[in-house]
Amino acid sequence: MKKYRQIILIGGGFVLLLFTMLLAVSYSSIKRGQAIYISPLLAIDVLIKWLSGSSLGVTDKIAIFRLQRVFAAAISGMLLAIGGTLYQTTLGNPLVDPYLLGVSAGASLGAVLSYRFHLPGPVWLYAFVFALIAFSLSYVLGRGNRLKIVLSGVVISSLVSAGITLVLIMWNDSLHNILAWLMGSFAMADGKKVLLQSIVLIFVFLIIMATHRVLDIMLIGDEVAHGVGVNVFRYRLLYLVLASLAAAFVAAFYGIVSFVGLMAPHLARLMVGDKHLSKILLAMEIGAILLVLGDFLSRGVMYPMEIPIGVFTSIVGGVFFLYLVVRGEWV
Amino acid sequence: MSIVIKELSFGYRNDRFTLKDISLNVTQDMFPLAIVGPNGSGKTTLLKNLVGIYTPQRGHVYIDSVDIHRVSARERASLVGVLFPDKAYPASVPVIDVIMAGMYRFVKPIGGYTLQDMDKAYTVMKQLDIIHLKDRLFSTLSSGERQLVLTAMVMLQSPKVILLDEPTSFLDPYHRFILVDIIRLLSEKHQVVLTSHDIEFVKAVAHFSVGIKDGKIIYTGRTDMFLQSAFEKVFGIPFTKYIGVFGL
Repeated sequence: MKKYRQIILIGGGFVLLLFTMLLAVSYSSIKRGQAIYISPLLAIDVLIKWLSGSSLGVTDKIAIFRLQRVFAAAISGMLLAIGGTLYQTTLGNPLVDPYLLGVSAGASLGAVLSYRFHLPGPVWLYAFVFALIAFSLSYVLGRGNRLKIVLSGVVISSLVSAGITLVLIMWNDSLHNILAWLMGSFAMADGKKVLLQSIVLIFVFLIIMATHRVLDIMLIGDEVAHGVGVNVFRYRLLYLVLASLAAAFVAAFYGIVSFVGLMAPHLARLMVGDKHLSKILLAMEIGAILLVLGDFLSRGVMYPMEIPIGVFTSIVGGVFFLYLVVRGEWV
Repeated sequence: MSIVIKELSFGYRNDRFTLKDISLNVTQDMFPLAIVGPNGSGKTTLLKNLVGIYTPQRGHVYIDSVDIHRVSARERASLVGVLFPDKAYPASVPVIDVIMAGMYRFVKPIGGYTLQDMDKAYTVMKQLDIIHLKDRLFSTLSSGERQLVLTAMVMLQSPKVILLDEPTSFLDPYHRFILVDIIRLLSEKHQVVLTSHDIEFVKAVAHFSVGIKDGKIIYTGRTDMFLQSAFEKVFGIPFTKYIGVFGL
């Protein structure tokens, strides 16, 4: 009975995600008639044309842009959901996510430095290294206390955001660009980024699906896990590095996207419980839906102007965070 | 079957030791063994050193001549298991999954449990009379039920030594009462070591006691002798005065 419920929820989530993605590809504005409508069939057709390398018309190109954006948002949502779940389980703290730990900000700073100074090597490498540094700082400063680690994370996040702003201002970047980094935006999506993100997503996903039982045991407690023979130190290190990797591959390309990593696992947990096999699958779908919908709104509500995606995730996520605090989820 | 602790020192900070140069030789006839001492005396810290959650700065712990700090996590789990009743997070996972965690040392992280594994789990659940809990969520159990579930888990794990940390804390009289039977059940196949300051309970289940105070062992021997000769030294109240108020 329970199993069916989970399968229905996860299947339903998948259908809803596809629907949301089609909606976001088809319309770019919620006011009808202001922008080009692309039918789902056309979108699929264009996708095939693009992948096979045929020449594209103007409408085709618009379709490609939208498809890339929608996929970027969906994959980013999945990566953040995975990152949030892994942080929450391995740190035994329901109040953390890549944003609140300062990891997203750290990764964005790494990426901004790499872009601005034309540093050798791929952008994501800098993002990943800076993500790990930011995480280590929050972790060391906030060790031993659930609220302390969130406080250190938020402070580090705001320090690093100041750094990002400073670097961008000194190099005469536009205000719009600065906002895009600080609040996140999928306007910079392209095929290569989507491909890189997909590779990381599959890599991280396969590892955690193969070891999902370890996550279940670690959730019950480090002492229990240690007792039954889990190498807690090694697995925690693995999961924390994977979480940071997932978060870095969002922040490196699209800036700081807040709170999705916090909301997605909690909502998934409310629906299917703590078993990681189903919790992570559903959290990924929820994360993706949140960001695809958020990106759709950010393009649409003030068309033709764009709003950073972080405006939406912060409003929803901030309220959600307060709800968790008031309900005493952190006790 | 023996536990040998050799010149073990452990501190949360390197400059101050919580456990100071502890040596102890526990032989087959001394189980079930109680580690008794006041709050903050280092009982739980010692327990965590015995199961390898903490690594001592100095000294060794041998279970059947194997240094438990130098073997793989799985091998260690075959020697020693632990029950921390109040340290388990009430996750929303089915009870059966929590119990199956005890099989971890037998299976690869990738791959599932076999029917034989499930059979073993049922046998254990039957012994503890908790089959009716198996599909409940761990988060919905009372602390007494949770402890039974964790006991089933550690029985499946089936290590040589089972450590129990303050097993009677948070238990109502009913569960405290049946815990005596459970420790007897555990003692049939395993050697049991528990920490406690619940002196009535210790007297009921443990023949031998180790008295610990300020990180040092100040008594090793029979529990009844402990009460007469070392109770005052460990807890700071004369034993006669204590039983004058609480009885025994």
